[in-house]
Amino acid sequence: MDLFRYSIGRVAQAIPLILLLILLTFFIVHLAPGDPVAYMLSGAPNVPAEILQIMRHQMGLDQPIQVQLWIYLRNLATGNWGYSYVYDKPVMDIVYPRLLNTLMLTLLAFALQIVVGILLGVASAVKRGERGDRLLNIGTITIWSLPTFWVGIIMILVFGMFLGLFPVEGMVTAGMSGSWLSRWLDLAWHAFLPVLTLALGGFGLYFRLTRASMLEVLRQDYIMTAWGKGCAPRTVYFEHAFRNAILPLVTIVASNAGYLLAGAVLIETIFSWPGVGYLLYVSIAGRDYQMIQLIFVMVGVLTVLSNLVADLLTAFLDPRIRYD
Amino acid sequence: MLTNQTAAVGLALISAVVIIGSLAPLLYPQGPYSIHLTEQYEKPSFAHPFGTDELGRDVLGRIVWAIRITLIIGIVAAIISAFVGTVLGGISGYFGGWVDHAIMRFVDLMLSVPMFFLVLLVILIFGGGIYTVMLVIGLTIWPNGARLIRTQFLSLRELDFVKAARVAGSSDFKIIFKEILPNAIFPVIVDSSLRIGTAILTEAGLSFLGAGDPSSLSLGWMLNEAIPTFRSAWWTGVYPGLILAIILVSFNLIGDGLNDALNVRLTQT
Repeated sequence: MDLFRYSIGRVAQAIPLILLLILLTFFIVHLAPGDPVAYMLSGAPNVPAEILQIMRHQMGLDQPIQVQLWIYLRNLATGNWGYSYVYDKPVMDIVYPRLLNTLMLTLLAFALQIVVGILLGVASAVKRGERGDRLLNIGTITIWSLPTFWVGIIMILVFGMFLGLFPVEGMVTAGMSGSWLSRWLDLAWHAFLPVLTLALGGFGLYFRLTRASMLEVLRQDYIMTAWGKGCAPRTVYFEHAFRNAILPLVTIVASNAGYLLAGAVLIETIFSWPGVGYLLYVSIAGRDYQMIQLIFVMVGVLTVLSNLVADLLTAFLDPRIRYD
Repeated sequence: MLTNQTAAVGLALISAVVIIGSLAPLLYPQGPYSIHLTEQYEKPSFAHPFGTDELGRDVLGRIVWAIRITLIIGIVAAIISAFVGTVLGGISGYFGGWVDHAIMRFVDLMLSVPMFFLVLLVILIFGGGIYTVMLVIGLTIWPNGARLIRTQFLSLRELDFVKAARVAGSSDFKIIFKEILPNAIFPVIVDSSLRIGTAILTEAGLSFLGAGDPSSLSLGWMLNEAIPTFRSAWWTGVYPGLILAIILVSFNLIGDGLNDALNVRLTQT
């Protein structure tokens, strides 16, 4: 089976998965106990039942659940992705700018995790058994085990409050005006701690994977051949070992996107970073169903897509996979 | 296992934590909820080694009580996940064929959906009692364990003692649980110890976001209460998190040490 047909097959598999996610989200959100209208009016005393009815009708909540589902699906397909009754705006208007904010943190942290994790993993594999390796191992496990939100707290306290080097919250300095460059620098300055915290939480995985993979590869016969040929250490490690060790990593890296977003929720809450994670948290507390639905579907779709990319990439790099 | 340095350190740490936690009624008999409104937000001192929080409650005292909840939730959730994972992984690995395929597809499905969000959603909408939390976490972290068990079963079922049992007339059920499982138990233990860490971290994350168990105090919940104030009253955030970190690090060290021991075993067979 060639790459093209495999790709089509995988994409075809992904579509029902996405549909399943949409259905799942819808049902969980809508079968929850509690009435959003009652919640919205929980402060007001004795609202007449007719008004509640009118509001329910407006929000389409008095229809049977199948009808609601059908309306929802139809809306999704036609580009109407929900209206937030909490913000009184279409959902996408709220989500879109925050999505960029979250992606900024997430992608930067992701890149950092991968680079640092791989470098340290290779170093650890190459220098295996030496005292530095043992320390590196324990050190990495320790850092990786720490709860990210606590690390964030420590970062803010140490670097923000005690040392005063970085801002303690938010994305931009309020009321700042100035040149384009100074605003970018301000943004970077605010982003530094959250990105660092996110990265610290995740690099351990890539470290261990790279190390394990490198060790596995270094045991192979062709590596011994390379040594026997008289290849310089650099050649052996990077041209022969590393390239082969990298392969299983691709799958894991690409399919880890979902976990990255989960970490982002916690970090954003600590740092008051206006992103999708923080928005989700606020929406769940405020029973903003349409917002919740859209964010969940988005996160789900992103995860499915990243898994798809991972599979396709692996198939591209390793022809053996396609014949499975 | 005791000779493995990593695991030994982890074991030492968690033992210390467990001992302190179990001594809670002795150390702080007044419980974690004793309010002293005259002593709000006191810095760490001799009387209150970790300071006090917004209601004058001693932070160290609350931590000592919270350790129990955190550990119990983590362990119960890990047990649930070990149960589900072992059963599904065992069935999958033993029978093979379409059963294996179906179960593995299900496992892939669970791994491809961002579980943290799903758990968050379920708990926030259906209410966050302590039992709900344990159950939901347990039901979402089992996939990794299932894969591991399945691999073990796949290799073990080809061995002679299984064939002998079959010839002797044992039912499949008996073979799985009485013959193969005892031999596959070590990876289960290794995985479970790592799962405890995952479960505790998940519960902490949920409580931190307010989606946990408001009536029972866990370390994550203490961190949640610290969010508005930690920038000034730093002790309300630093210390609960520190103990949580120690717990997590120790479980991971133990799991890692066990993992190394496991790999040595595997390469020897």
